[in-house]
This record gives sequence, C-alpha cells and structure tokens, in this order.
Amino acid sequence: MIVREFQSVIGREARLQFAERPETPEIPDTLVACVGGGSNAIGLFYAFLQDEVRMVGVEAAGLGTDTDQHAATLTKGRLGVLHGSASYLLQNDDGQVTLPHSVSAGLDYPGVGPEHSYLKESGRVEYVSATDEEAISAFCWLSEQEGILPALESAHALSFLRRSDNGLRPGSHVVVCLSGRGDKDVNTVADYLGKEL
Amino acid sequence: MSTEQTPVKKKDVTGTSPGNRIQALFRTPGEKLIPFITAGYPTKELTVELVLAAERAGADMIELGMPFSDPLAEGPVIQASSQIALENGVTLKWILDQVRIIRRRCEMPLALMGYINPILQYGVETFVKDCRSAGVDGLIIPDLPPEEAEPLIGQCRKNSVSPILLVAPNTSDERIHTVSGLAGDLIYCVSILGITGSDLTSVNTLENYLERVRKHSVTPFVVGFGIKTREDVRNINRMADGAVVGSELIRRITKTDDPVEAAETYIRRLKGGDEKT
Repeated sequence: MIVREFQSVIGREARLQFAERPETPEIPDTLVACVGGGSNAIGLFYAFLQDEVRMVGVEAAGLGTDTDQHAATLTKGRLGVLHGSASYLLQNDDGQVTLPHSVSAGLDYPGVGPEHSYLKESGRVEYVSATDEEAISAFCWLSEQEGILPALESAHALSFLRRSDNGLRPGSHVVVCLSGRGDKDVNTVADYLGKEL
Repeated sequence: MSTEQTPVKKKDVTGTSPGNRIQALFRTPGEKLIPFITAGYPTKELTVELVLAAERAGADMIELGMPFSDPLAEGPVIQASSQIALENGVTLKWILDQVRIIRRRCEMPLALMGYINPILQYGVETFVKDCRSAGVDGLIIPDLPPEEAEPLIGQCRKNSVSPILLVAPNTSDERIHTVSGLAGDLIYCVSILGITGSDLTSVNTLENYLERVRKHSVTPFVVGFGIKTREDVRNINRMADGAVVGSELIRRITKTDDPVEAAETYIRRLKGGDEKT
C-alpha cells in the first residue's frame, strides 16, 4: 500500500492529462501496464479502479509460459508467501521459490504485489503475458515509429497493442504506461538482435 | 505503555499434553546450549551423524534448519548452506524422515527452523502432525508473524509441538508478554536487529534487552544470532535460558574434511566440556 500510494501519482496525472485533451472523452477506455512486482501498474490502475475502464497487466513470458524461463507470476504461479506477503508466487512443488527469467531486469521477479493477486482473483484486471521476443519487437516498433525508446519492461505493455486478439476496437482510447526509458536497454536489445553497437 | 498486564499463568497455557522434550528440558535448571545445523548440509548423509555428534558433545537441544530458497533472516553462511542443501535435494519430507531415524538413537529435544512457504505448500495441519509423529518437539518460523500464526499454533497445541515464536530488541514489553503467552513453552530472542552470523552487541545493551524479556515473558527464552564462543554461551546463559549457535558451527563444518569431528569438538568447547578434566 505504501508502494501504491506513491505510485498513484502516475494514475492521477494520466487522468488529468487525458481530461485536458479536448478531442478525447473524459477518461480512457483501456489501460495497459507491465507487471513485474507491479508497482507502475498499480499506480496507473488505482486512479481508475472505480470507473468503467478496462485494465490489462502484462507480465513477462520470457522464453514462453510453457517453458520454465519466464516471470509470469500471475499467469503461472500459485498462492505462496514471499518477503512477508501472501500473493501469487513462482515456486516448485516443495514451496521453494524458483528463479524467474525475463529479458528485462525489472520484470524478473518471482512474486507480485498482493493487490494484483486480489485484482486478478476479483476479475477487475486482466493479466496476460508477453515474451522476450514480443517485447523486443515492440521496443523497435515504438523507437522507429515515434523516436521514443521505451524501457524493455514497458515494451511488454506496448506489445499488447500489436496483438490480433487484444480485443481493442479501432478508435479505442488506450493509455499505455511507459514506466521507464529504454536508453538503459539499448545494449540488451542489440545483444538480443545480434547487432554490434 | 504497558504498566498493567493481564497475568498469564505459566502452567496450562499450552493445553499440550502429554508434553514434549522441550517442555521437559526447560523445567530443569542449568546452562543450555542449542546448536543449529542446516539439514542436508554439507551432505544428506551427514545430517543424522551431526545431530548425534552434537548430543555426544553435550548439546542440550538441537535446531535443525529446513533450507529455503529465500531465507530472509539468515546471514551469508547459513544462506550458502541452505542453497547447497537444496541442491542436495532436501525436502520437508526428507527432513522428517531424518528425524525419525534420529529418534531411534537419541532423545535430545529437537526443533525445526524454517520459513512458512514450504510448510504452506506441504499443508500446515499435515506438517505439524507429521512433525509430532516423527519426533519433532518445536517449530521456529521466523517469517510467520504472531498475528498470522493462529492456524499453525492451533495445530501445534493439538500435537504437543512447541511453537517457538520470536522477539527482537525492538519488541515492546507488551508484545513480549503477548508473544510468549501465544508461544506457551519457549520463545527465541533474536540478539540484534540483523541477520544470523553478525557480531553480538555490547553486553550492556544485551543485558538491558534480556532483562526486559525476563520481566515480561511468561515462558523460558533462548537467545540466538552472533553467539560464537564459550564465553558468549556462558554470558548468554546468565541472562537467558539457553544459547543458540548456528553460523559459526556451519562455518566450521564447511572448513574441514571431517565435519562430524569438527562439530563435536566445537560444541564440546562451547559447552565447556574441555574445561572440566
């Protein structure tokens, strides 16, 4: 709740900025944010929880949620206790916490903020996942189209927009949280693509 | 602040019967030494041997660590031993099997120390029952706050296993009283605000803290974290009902070709056994 309180600036500001735009409705119809521990996502979502707004949290599927190399806690984990809180957790049958994998360091966490577990259970927020490959591709897409380097974490959220099954209709008003800049990730992306800088 | 406290009787607070080895041990006076070893470290084969060596060396009780992937109270030495034990394939079921083997040869009180998640996955009720039938006398779960501990404590009472709750130097007088009342048989005082294997604080600070515990706890209490020498053990036993030694023992087991011999010699020295002849 401490994290949510401070991160909630994101949602309050997004709400204000969106309302100031004369060409769009008062509030967006869809919010998308990446979820590792889930801090930026809870910050964005919190200001809209009482509104009719669709919310999507995108976890890191790493090499795929059918492998053991991912960080998709809400998608593939089950109830456990880590660092003093009960939440979804990536763990083996003995209750030992397993090592997650993601190309983005910020999503590479085996647990998740407990409020996300609650929002998943209640059905208020949809949680999906994006692979390393989808994130890298979304990173390149935004960089090429807009000249904005998104953090690899945020690129997971962005990749949701490019899916054919995302349920977004033309004309939807979507807010994607760009939780960080991608300058820090340029080397990782170059390595992934096999390019030398 | 707490000036008035509800008196909690020392007897009958647990409702446990017919009693376990920990309750019996702490009814007897005298210095107590409780070595800690990580189950399955350095190898699975040595766990039973190390416990028996501790008993031969004069240990009064043994604390057996159930390794966890994210052991938040542990310093580097016990963390590393937990990691190796997990790589050796240690599970709760295997640990309980070892306790059964130990119980064929030894009646020393035994507590298991571990983190709550593996126990939750095992099932709290089944785990405590299996502890009882294997011969475990107590459970120490550092990441289980008393407020969330009722299911486990309830099962412990039913099965005559002592839930050994923890207090720290920043625990209030009132809370020491409440926590010890909930624990019923024994509490574990963390000596410092820190992790296992750290240095002890000054004797004065420790003395003030343990005097507070003595005044407000309704149960006997042992002290752990940072205890390394014979002198530490003697000092702690003047202020408390027992001393736990973990990291330094594990460190000695790690640095030798003969862990059983090293453990036995070190524990005997901690106990003052080499002074008497």
